[in-house]
Amino acid sequence: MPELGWLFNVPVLRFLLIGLGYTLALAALSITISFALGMLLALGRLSRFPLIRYPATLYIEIIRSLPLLLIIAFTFFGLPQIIGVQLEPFQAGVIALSGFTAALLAEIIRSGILSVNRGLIEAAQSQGFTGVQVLGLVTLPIALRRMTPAIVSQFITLLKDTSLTAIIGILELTRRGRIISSQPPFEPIPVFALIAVIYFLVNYGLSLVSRGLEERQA
Amino acid sequence: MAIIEFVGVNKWFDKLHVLRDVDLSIERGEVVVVIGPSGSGKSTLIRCVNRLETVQDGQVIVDGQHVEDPRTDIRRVRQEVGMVFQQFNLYPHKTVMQNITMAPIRVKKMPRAEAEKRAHELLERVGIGEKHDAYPGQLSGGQQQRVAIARALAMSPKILLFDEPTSALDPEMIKEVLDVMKDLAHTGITMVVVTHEMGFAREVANRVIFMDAGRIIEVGSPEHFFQAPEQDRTKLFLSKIL
Repeated sequence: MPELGWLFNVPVLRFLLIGLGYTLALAALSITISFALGMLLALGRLSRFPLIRYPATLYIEIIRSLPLLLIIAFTFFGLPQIIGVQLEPFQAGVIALSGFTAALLAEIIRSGILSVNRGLIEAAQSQGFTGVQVLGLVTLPIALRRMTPAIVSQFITLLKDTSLTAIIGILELTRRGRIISSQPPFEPIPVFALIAVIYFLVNYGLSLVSRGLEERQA
Repeated sequence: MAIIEFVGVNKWFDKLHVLRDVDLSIERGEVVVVIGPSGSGKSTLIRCVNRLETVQDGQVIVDGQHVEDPRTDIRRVRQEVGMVFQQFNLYPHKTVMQNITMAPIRVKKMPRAEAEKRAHELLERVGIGEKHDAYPGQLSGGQQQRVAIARALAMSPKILLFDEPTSALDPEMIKEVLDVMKDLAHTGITMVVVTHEMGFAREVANRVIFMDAGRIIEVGSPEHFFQAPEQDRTKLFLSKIL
């Protein structure tokens, strides 16, 4: 058993946990924003109005075809020149992660909505519900139940992809691991093993939440 | 005055002409059974009453409101017209009670307590008073269809449309649904029933309509139909199913 006191001590662990804090903050904000935006994009793509449908489709097709790393770099370095507002790395990270994940979620949500039996929608229409009520009371609740595993998978991917924001200087968990392992005693394997355990615990927690949601809805 | 009126109605699905020059007048309180081979347009006919299908030509007038007119607020018409489907179409994520009370509460703004009281009465009436907390998936087909009838009745409609309500049921469950429908037929509500159940037609229909290839071929009393149909096409159809 090698001596790991250099890793398991308060300053190093605190340094890593602050990184976990960034990772979780990026993920939590991006999950919330991407879900809302993904929902709007999915509805937009299903809209019968071309003025809504085409832009939504274009956005989804372009964004999901690009590497996330590129989108993160562009959001931080390129976007400020277009909109004329300088972005903090954390802001750029949230925008990039949310915008990218929203495009992927939109397709999951769209397929979920399309999977809802037409007859159920007609039953609701025949009862005099408004279009918004049909969507909110029947179509979306049924669709979201079916999509829960796929959506949570996407959130887990998102949480891991927060590590890509290191390229714009965010000191999240993985980046901090690299910093620790580049210090004496220069031993990356224990550091990355510890980081892997942390990622696993957080994501397994998400899986359990997903399973709980599925069972509650069964 | 007729409560449902079709005047010169034509409908196409792309190039397929599914309703041809349909003229039909149904009086308040009438029980009308629509029969005909599959693809003859019977389901399409009743789906035009609450604009689940739109017509391209002619008029569909329901309780004085022009359903074919895009300016008509179809939700007002739909509140007067209950519909029961072949596949039941109960909301799978809602309990039986919620299935029945959702529209009265959300569409008619009925207080929840009142809607639930009425739902209990309706469930008693269709013979499944104890199932209010079950989910549709826990019920048999016959029970689901009876809940669907209770759901349609919860809006106190003037008209009930039935689209092959027993076609998806096991034989032993058909009777329990037909019994509920027969009870309803005697309450004075207007019913339009697409079905292959000739026993039901014979017993409770005021009029039977025979359709083929999008046209109404023959209209008459059940006696007329089952004893002396006039059209050859009707005779041929009846000889096959009776």
